[in-house]
Amino acid sequence: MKLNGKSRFIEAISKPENSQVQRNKLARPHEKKSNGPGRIVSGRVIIIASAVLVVIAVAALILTNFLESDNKTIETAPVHSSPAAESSPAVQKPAAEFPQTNPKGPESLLAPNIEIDSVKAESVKVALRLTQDLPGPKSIALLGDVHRNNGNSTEAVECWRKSLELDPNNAVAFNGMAWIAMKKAEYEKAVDLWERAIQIDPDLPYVHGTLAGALACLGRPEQAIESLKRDIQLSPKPAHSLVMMANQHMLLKEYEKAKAAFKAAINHQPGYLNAYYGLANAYARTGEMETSREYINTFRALKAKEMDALKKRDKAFDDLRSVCRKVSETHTAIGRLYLMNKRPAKAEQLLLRAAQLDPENTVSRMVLASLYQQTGRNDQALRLYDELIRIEPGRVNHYIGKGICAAMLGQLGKAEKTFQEIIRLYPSRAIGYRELAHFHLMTRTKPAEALLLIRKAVDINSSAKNLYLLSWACEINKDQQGAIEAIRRALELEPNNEDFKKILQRISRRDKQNSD
Amino acid sequence: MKISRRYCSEFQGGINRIATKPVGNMTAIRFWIISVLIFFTPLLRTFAASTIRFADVTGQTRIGFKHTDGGSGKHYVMETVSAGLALFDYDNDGDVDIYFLNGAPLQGTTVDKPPTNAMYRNDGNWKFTDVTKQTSLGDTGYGLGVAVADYDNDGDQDVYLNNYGPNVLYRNNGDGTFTDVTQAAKLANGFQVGAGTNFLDIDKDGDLDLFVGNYLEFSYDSHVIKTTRGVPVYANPRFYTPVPDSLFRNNGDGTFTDVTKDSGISQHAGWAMGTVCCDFDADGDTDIFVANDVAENFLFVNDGTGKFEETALLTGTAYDLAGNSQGSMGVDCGDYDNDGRLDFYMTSFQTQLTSLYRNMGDGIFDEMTLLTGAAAGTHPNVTWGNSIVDFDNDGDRDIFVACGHLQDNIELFDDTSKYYEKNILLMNTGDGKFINVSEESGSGLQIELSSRGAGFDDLDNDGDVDVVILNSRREPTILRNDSPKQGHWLQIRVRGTKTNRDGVGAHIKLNAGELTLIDEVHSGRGYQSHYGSRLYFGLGAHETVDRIEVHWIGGGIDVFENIAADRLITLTEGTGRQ
Repeated sequence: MKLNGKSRFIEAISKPENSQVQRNKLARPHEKKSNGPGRIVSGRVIIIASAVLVVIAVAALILTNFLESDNKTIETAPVHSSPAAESSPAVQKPAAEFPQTNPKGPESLLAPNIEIDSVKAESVKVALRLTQDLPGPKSIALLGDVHRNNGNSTEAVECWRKSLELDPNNAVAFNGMAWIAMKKAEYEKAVDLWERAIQIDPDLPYVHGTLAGALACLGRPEQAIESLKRDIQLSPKPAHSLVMMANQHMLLKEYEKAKAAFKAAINHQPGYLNAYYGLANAYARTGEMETSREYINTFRALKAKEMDALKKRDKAFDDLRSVCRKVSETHTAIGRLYLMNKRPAKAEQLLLRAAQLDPENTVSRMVLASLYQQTGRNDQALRLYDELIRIEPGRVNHYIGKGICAAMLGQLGKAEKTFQEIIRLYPSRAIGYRELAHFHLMTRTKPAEALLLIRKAVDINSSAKNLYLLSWACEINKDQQGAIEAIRRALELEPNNEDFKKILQRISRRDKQNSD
Repeated sequence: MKISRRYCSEFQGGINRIATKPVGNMTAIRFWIISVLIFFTPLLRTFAASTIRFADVTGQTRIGFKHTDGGSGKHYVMETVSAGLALFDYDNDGDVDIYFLNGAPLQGTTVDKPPTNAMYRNDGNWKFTDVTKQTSLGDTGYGLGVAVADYDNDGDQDVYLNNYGPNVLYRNNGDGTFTDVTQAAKLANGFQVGAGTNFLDIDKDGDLDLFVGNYLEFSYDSHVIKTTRGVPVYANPRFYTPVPDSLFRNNGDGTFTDVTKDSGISQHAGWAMGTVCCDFDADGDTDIFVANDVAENFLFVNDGTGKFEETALLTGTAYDLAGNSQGSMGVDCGDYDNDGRLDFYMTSFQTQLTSLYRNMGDGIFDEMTLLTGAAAGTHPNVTWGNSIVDFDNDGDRDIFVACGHLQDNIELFDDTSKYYEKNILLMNTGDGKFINVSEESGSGLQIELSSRGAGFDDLDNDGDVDVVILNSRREPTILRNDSPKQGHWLQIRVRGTKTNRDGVGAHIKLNAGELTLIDEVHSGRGYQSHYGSRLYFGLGAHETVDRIEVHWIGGGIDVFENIAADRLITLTEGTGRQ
């Protein structure tokens, strides 16, 4: 499945395996040529060496990500109230180009003295500047996003059109135009635009579902169902599409199919009240009134909760914060585009501003952290990872980033604690054991513990990568046979992995030499 | 290459250059077909022209009324929902007159002369005279909803106003004047924010009782100010506490008793907007539909004695197809598919579709909006007044939707919608579907204002139904139906003798050849308005009506046969074949 910009980026940096393989490939001592007695390099030197390479790897990942997905819409990150994040020590660097009405820090951005209009105007100014600095379809499309966020759909569509003139394969621009057409009840046009988007990028998130919505509005339930089937295949969270599909079956009086889809939605998302509503109606229409009533009762209870939640949401709604969040998103996207175009200073400025504007914007912080790591500013990156952990305390990637930064700064105790925190959070998952083991292997501080940890990880998940680390740990702990066995198993899982082959050859050769 | 160019031709301006992607044979054929369809669609639309025409005749009516919402920029919630209107024959001279509700100065607003409601007498030939003073109908309260009926069975129609503030009952003196009898009747209903209101006979005792919708609990202290994208806006009604509606039983002596609690109505609090009362389940008594803003609608089912059970969720009318609450605004009923059952049509908020609930006859409604096209064009608009009316007398009922955003500055933060919008006309194609013919139905549909209440009656007695629209903060719109005369018609006025004199609640079934039509007399409907005291039937090619059954509220039936078309008839209770 292809992900949008945000998801792809998150996936890229959230896959520790990617960077680990890079690190392992380069840092694993038995991959280095023997230097005689001095071949055992000190942990600190290894860390520094690996750090440089990690930076390269992260940079490569970011660049790849940008090349593939830059300019795609960034969706609002899940919002978690995080007062701590508002103090945001990591993003206090002033962005000179922007009005600095918050000398005490980004939290005062949300104070009433900030004019929403000035934030909106800033977003337009930044996007216009982008189109001058980096003329091209992506910049123009981003200007379109800014106009859309400010409620100027006419200008947004004009930008997307211009963008498409320069690059007719921008599915996201088609998607944006389709949404506007949909809002204006131009369903035929919306269908056409979404179909074009799909032709360009069949895996664009949610686009099959939105296309289905337009088809449904045109009274074409059969076509809507087909589009929803595709959306359900692609979406990691298909409950909404399942309910949509069920409702189309209801229109077609295909009540059993509708029931099945409603139930599937509940399986995916228990408590999805619309599914209970649909089930109540479906059972009523097949004469099963008792069952219908049961679903109605569940729906009633859920609906009451929803109303309470809506009232709370209404009361909690902060317009300034909402606008700042949107502007933060587009600033982040623009910052990434600058970064991709080798304008790191400008990128940093915008990403900082994005982080200021939205204390919960994880994407801007993640990109910033990567940028800092690339440029050797691990102390700043570390502070950002601390912030990210406060915002998203359940996200493993942030701990890994923090652990790496701490290690690179020589704060080994802090790094170790960070990796231990992953185990505490997810004791039944392999990742925490693996990361801590990897840390010990890298620093060569606790080889025996590393072996125990990676064995635990392999017990949970005997992936090729875990087996590779097990091989490494065995080797360090003088268990040549264990090392050979582990790397062989890894090779069985990834028979074409040349690195594994080389490792196996090398360990086997050494083992033979030892036995000779 | 031609195909590519054609494929791209749908976009206006510059998109031609974008489609450079080579296309395969099958794809090319598909594109070609699409292109041809796109090319010919406007032509096809022209050929499938509307059979309905409305001309804007506001300028020639001499109607000088201008609505005020009483606001001064403070964004009080009731400013957005004012107001409804009433169409009725106040002076019994045989033509339909117009009564506009008006707002009143709210806190912070000062005026030299208080605005009033306005009564316009129909003088014929599309000329109206302001008779507000003569009639004494110039209430200075904050008008929201209105219902009209002969509650005292004295032979003329009375008026009830559902205001923000004390409500008002005007008794028709029978001489072209009215008297405020609110206090005597005990119908002030406290000091609430009103909504739709309806006369109906809840207990089949021969006099009309009164349902009063209540919007929400408001005080200036609880006023909420919000902004969207930095622009000050009217707050969502969820910020205010919902309240139960009210029900009053007619004591038959000019007074009413509050039966809100005894009837079961008080058990349900909501944000009432439009209301309509009808016998949807055809069990001989009148039920009540309440379109509630931002929450589930209510369908109060009458047990025949004036006790009500709320059944909207069970009947499928509480929410839209997906189970989502709508910003419900106006509601009307009518048999759109001529299956002999009353369906509901309901308007709603921007980005929501209006809803068509098809009565399946077994106590269940199917939300048929998507399959019928009954919401075409409504998605970007806030929609208000509405009705299911046969405008072209072809024997099936069309839909009119009054549009206009409630945020007067919507364009500042969302330019996909507008404060001033065109209204929408959906023509019934005869097979249970609707097409949006707003662009092809004359100058009357090209007016852009912010409409609220709408009324539908034959103002010039020429056999087709005209339209009157109240526009927020502006002059009203009067639309003359100039549709080519393709179909015959019959208009029916019913007169109760044992039941209420206006025949409110009477159910009419009409047969003309293969055509079977039904309707019912309602008092209060659409968006907080009143219209349709006489019933309109388009007959298509039928010059004669074979049979009319009038089912009076309470169970009596009169049958009338062999009636010539193209006229207004009065059917009096007890004069037909029993």
